[in-house]
Amino acid sequence: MMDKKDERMFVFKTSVRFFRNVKDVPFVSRFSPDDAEDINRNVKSVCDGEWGEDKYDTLNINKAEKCDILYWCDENCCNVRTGGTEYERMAFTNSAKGTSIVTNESEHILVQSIKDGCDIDSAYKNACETMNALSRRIPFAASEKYGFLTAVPFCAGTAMKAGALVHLPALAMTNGLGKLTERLAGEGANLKPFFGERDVSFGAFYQITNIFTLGITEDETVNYIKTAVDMAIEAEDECRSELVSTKEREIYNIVWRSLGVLAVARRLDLKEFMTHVSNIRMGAELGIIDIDADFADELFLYGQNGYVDRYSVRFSLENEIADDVRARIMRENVAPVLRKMI
Amino acid sequence: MMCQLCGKRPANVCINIDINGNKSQRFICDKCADERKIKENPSGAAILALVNDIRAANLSRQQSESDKNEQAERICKSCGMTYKEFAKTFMLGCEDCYESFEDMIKPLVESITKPSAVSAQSEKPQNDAVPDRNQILKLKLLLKQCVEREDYENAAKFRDKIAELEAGKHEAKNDG
Ligand SMILES: [Zn+2]
Ligand SMILES: [Zn+2]
Repeated sequence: MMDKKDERMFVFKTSVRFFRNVKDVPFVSRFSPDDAEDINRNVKSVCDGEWGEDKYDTLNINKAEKCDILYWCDENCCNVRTGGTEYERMAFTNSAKGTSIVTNESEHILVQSIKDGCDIDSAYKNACETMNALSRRIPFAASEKYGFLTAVPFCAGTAMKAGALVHLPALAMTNGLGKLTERLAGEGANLKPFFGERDVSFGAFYQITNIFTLGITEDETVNYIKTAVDMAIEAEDECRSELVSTKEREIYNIVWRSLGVLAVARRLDLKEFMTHVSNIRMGAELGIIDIDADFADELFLYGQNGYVDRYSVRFSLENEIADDVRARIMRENVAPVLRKMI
Repeated sequence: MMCQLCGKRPANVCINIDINGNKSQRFICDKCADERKIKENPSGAAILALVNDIRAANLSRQQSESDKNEQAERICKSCGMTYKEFAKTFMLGCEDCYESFEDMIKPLVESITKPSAVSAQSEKPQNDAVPDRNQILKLKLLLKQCVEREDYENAAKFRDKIAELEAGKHEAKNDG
């Protein structure tokens, strides 16, 4: 059995999400701006009571700058629409707990709790605390047959998605993901690229989530994901050992090259950036280079579109193209580290 | 033969499928093959995605032909959501939509229902029943995979095994 620190090498984040709609209020595609405001008011008062008035941040998604919304999304591993809508959409974020509530996205209410590394129990516990506080005040739409009712019918029932964001570079390099995908399906879990398109991942980050939300309990869901994550870790670990023992020189070369590119490149698009940051994270995990996974994870956040846009605004670099700004941010962070190592 | 994926262009690429040694083929057009980058050395995940998407495409083509008219007319009396709009956005309009469009969302609901589900709210899982349920779940997924790759011989075996286990479970329940 691996300890927590080792799991951290494979699991980037774990999350638990609950989707809820308010009873007797039409879903988001059919409700009125007044309904939306009511929901926001109720959620806000729950936040005030439960978290304390000054203990959380409020983001008005409908009015905020696009780069601030994207940055919030990157930090919270979550997607929200950036365009304006006729109704108000909010994000209430309690960073200390890693819990946030998003209103009027595809469902009236999304509660999400995220933890670094592999800690689904804490994510589940934190999400439940907030869910319980909300349900004491807000009646939710539910039926006997379909459980909690969601506008997107794919998650009716528990209306719960538990997941882990895992880093599987060795399996990705060796075409080992198809087999893992099949095995996870047998455990009721889905494996899909977290960044990228279709089955092509930028940087070998994959999301594991539960397939089933009906005929299953919340506890079972958590256990399914735990089993699935263990399976993925085991497969990746085996694959990495194999790679290091058979292709040591190649792997060292890939890792050091990527570090070099991040330290000196003048232009980096998101896809190329993700590939290099993935390689150096793997290098850190395998002990090839002496940096810790946290540093790699920081770089990872700094290279996302939201952070890059924000950086451009802050340092008045708006006339530089984003890929150049991304390269600039990487040089600032990586070059000093590299200088110490060579 | 038309492309099994888009159904719009003639199929001129043959993709060999090999899932755990079970071989079959799919025929798609150049454009679809290019888009998915599966002409040379496709990944296992790409193959699996292709098989799933072709199945989904078949399903939606069949549906769109047979019940197009009846479905298009359907409307939820509570919120005014039409089936047409739902089919476009996959978003329901209100709680009552679940009843208004019940037969149409049935395949969706089935795909998210844990196979061999024992009603989660009303029954506490009993410890000795758990291995059974997991086994049935696994068998059902294997069955699904067999059907997907048109391996009906093995599918029949799994189907019989599931029936056997489920019958056994019901007996046990009646006894208790
Ligand atoms: Zn085609
Ligand atoms: Zn409706």
